[in-house]
Amino acid sequence: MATPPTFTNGTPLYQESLNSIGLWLVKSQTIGTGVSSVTVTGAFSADYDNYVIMVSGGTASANGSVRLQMNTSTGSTYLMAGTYGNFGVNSGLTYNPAATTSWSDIMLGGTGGSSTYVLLNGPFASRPTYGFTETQNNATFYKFSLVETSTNSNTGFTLTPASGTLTGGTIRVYGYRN
Amino acid sequence: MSMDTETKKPVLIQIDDEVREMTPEEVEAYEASIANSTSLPSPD
Repeated sequence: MATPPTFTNGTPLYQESLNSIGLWLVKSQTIGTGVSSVTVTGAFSADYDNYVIMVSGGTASANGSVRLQMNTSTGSTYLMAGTYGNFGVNSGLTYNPAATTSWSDIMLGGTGGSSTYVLLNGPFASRPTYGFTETQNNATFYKFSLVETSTNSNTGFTLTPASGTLTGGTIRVYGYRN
Repeated sequence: MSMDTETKKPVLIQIDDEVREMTPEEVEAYEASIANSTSLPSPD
């Protein structure tokens, strides 16, 4: 049978249907009030190769970058490159910093809120992790490709604002069915 | 009357659902990581 996009009471849970569902919610983490860092554990495992991290609904004490470091990969193995800009002012500004110990600009925090969508390929696998981020607050946007070059296997990550704190909102981690 | 000591605001760390104040060692590591990190400056 075809996989229905919605289920109703009494819909049989056919194996074929369940095994065709592409995206599964792995973790949902509410961000506290005025925290300087947020660690999410148990996000990555052998169950999935590819993940989406979505952060939305919260605010930051200042507009600016938030970095992400995975729990096992702590060396200078994080690279990111791409474009950024300011809404209504400019776009296509390039950014390609040297390797650091985190993805230093994977997310934008915003006093008026922000939204972040990160795709990661292989954070748990013992090989480099690839991905991209697309994030924006009400003033700025980032679009960066990501690579973490170590062969470490990671199960979680920490988000840390470059300055200030985060309040509220939710970090959701989804796994793509292999 | 002047204050002789500065009262520092506690630095909060969140690990999953637990939110707590950072230990002095964690604060030291956190401040070092902030000082050593380079990121795009806030544009506004």
